[in-house]
Amino acid sequence: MSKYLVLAASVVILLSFVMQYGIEQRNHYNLVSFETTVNSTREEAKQAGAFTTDIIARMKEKIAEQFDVDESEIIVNVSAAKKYRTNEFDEREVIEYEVGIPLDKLIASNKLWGVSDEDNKTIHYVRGVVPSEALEE
Amino acid sequence: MKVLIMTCAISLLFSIFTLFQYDCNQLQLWEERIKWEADNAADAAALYYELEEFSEGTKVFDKSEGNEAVAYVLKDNLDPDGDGAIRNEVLGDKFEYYVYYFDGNGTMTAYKGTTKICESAFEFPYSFTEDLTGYTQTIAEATVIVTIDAGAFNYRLSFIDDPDCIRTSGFDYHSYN
Repeated sequence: MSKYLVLAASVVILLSFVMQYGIEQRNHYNLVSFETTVNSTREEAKQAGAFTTDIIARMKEKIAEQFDVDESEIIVNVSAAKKYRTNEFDEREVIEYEVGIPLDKLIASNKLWGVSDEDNKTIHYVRGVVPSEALEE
Repeated sequence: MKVLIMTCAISLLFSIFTLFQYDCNQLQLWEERIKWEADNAADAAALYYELEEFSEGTKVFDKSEGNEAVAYVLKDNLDPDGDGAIRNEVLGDKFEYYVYYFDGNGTMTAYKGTTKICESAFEFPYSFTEDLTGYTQTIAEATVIVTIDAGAFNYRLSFIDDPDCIRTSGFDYHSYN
């Protein structure tokens, strides 16, 4: 009987590794897709001189579709003022951005390892600057 | 007892596998990030050019402004602490970058960081091969190419060789007649 009990416990522990493989691949795929979306969007922002309302709305829609999250959960902090391309480099004329999405499950069978649901989630941010390509009219 | 020993052995094997999977994913993620930043830096450098030469129909990049822009975007996006190390947990301390300017007047100028390392003449079209990455591009217009060398990626499993994390990207403006 004790042999079967050890076997049952072993199966639970070993299965969590298998589930972790799936979660890690899902999170990784999501992160690559998310960063690609943000980096593609910043190219649009370069042309426009800022993350305009339209650009942000399109980006949020795309991320929400990819991640199956609500658009309100996506954190977007960007330069609101339009920046312009100048003949000399000017730090004030770069577009700053910070976009974050929630990752709600990092470890499989977290309670088995003593990790609470609160500690098992995080927000992944992409931050940076891009130069503006918009010309002043 | 046999089951317990087998479970411990398989758990150890799975742990190694999980670590390897995570590191492989991190390497892919960082290679993508560095590629995007090389692209962004090349774009930033290509924005500045000499107006006098441009008025005569030749695009000659303003290296001083270009280098300043490259240094700024790379520092802010990859090295915000300014300690020469990329913001990460998995790459080493190395962070070097090279900028190659191909001007419309047939001059190629290469910089390592902001230090000039080479200047030579070339003729359009020119087949450029980056020595560090083997990246090849036919230069038909004024172009800026940026290579970021982030050093070796640290696999936590000591028996795996650490691959170099290095990417190149170019940016050119096409003229339309």
